[in-house]
Parts: sequence; structure tokens; C-alpha cells
Amino acid sequence: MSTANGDPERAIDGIISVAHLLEEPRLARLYTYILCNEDVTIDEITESMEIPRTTVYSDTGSLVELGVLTRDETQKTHTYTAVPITLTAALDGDEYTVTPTLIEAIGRAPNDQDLSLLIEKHGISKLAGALTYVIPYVEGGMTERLAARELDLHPAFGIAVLHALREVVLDMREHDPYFEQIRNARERPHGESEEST
Amino acid sequence: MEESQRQNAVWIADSGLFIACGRQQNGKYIALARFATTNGITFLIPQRIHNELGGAPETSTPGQTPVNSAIDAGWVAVADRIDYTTPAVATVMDDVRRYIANVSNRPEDQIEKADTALAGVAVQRLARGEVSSVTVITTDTDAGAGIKRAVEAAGFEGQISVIDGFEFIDTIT
Repeated sequence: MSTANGDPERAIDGIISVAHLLEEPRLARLYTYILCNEDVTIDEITESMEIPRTTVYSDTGSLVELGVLTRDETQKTHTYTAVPITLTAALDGDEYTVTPTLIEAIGRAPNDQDLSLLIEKHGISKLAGALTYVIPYVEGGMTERLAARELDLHPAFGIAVLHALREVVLDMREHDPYFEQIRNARERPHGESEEST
Repeated sequence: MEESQRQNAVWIADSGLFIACGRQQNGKYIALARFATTNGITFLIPQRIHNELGGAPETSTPGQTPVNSAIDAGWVAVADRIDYTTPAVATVMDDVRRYIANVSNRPEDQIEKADTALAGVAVQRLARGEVSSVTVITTDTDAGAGIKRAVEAAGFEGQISVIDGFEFIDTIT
């Protein structure tokens, strides 16, 4: 439901939901799994994600509560569908649009040594920044070393991060309905106006 | 592969090949070593790339990729210093820099030297007549395209091929 000015309550709820997903890789991974597979049952999730059933129950419950999953209770076996989310954060002229592709990258980090090292050393914001370089890296228009340099990462480590996120982009571009909204660093370098430290 | 071809060809590898093979350990690096040893190939890496692979954080993939043991085992070798007085070397490296700057929408002075070094090592071997053909393997599509174009423009059309590192790994694993 939306009014002419949009629904402010829904916007605030959205910020809180996305923040939860960004901070909790397990929820992020579950969310994008359901987004990519649609209409899945608890049994299917338990089996393919190899997560204990009780965890799947509790996590799907959390995601339904956050409003990013819907539960279809019309059949005997309930099924879950993800609500595609996009959230544009604008702060004093700095802007970023979070889409399911970033959520997927967060979800993969615990099982990927390069992504987890990136987040551990530089935070989720660096992961989000790196994603803006992977778009032109995959589509053409950005080299590995130029991306690493602008992200202020050691070149070889930067290449490893690009490789990790390349897989995310290749897997998500057909499932993320807001993929086109991800910023492209070819047009404007990440953190252009900020002092690089 | 013909024996004559093998002797007259040189394979030059970019950092991305080793990193892609080392990521998420699943035997890709072993497959790369096997490919090199069974085909009698030594992957040549520019000095800059050797330095680059050596300085990565310890817990990252490149920090754990054993390039030095591959050098000891003989299937990777570090190229001699690039001799800028060799005809075509400086021109080709400038061309690569210009190409990457243009395609990436950035000023030329921001282009990293390791990308141009791959082209420098390739064209130096060709210009000196040490080899008749060069194969560059990179996971960087734009850098690869720039290297191929610049080396061909220097008069070595048909003597350079660029292989996509990701596709290459798929074929050997």
C-alpha cells in the first residue's frame, strides 16, 4: 500500500529489516536462498542448506516478522516466498542502494575467506563498495588492479575479493530484480569525494 | 600440442590465474600444476606480479597461494627485468595503459604497472625473436584485451593469444 508521499512507516520498517539482514549472515543467506528458489518448504530449505530444522523454523519466522518473507498457509505444507527488497540510503550527499545482491554477498562471507577477511578488516561498507566495482569488472569497463587501488586494498587481495564477488554477481543478476540499481564504479569512483585513508 | 610449438611458445600468467585457482580450495591449484607439468609448460610471471602475490595478507587466498613452491618446482618462473630499450616494449606498454584508462574511464596515470608489465614481458620475447608466439592467461578481461591489441599493433599479429583464466580453469578441472 502506498500513498502519494509513500508510506513513512513502511520505509522505517524497511531500514530495520535490511539492517538485520546486513548484520546477520545466516539470515541473509536464508533470505537470498528463498528469493532464488521461491515457494519453498521448511523441508526443502533444511535439506538443501544443511541447517538444523529448528534453526530454519526460527529464522524463517524472524524473516516473516521482518516483512522480507511471506508464508503461504493455504496449503497443508506452508511455503515461503521472499519479498524482493531495495533500499536507498542517502546521507549528506553520499548514496547507496542495497539490493539482494549485497545481501547474498553478506550471506556468503562466513564461508569465503576473502570476503570474511574484507569484512573483518574493513567492514560491510567496504564490501558494498567493492560490489560497485564488480559490476563493471564483470560487464567490461574496469580492471582488477584499478578496482583494488581505488578500494585501497592490496592488489592481490583486491583481485581475490573481486573474484569472490564476481561469483555473487553471476549468480544473482538473474534473481535480483533491482540488480540494475547497484551503483557502477566506472561512472564514479567509490568514495570519490572522501579522503582516502 | 606439437613439440615445435611448445618450444617456441611462452605462457605468461597474471596474478588472477593463481588466485582463482587457490580460492575456495578444491583442487584447482593442483590441476594447474598438473596441466603445466604434463604439457611441459612453465608459466612466466613478471617481477611485479611475483611481488604482488608475495605481499598479500596472510589469511587471504593470495597469502596462502604457494607460488614460491611452484617456482621451486619449476612450473612457474619469474621473468627477467623488462628492458625498455628493446624496440616496441615502451610503445606497447604505453598503448596498454592508454587502452585500460580509456575503457575504465580513468586518467592514464592511475593505471597499475603490473597490467602493462604483462604486455612488456610478452612483447620483449617476441621482439627479440626468442619465441614465435605468446599466450597470456588472465582473469582480467579488459587488461587482456588491451594487451592483445597493443602487441598486435606493434606488428605481432597472430603471435599473441589471450586466454580467459576462468574459462581455462574450467577446462583443466
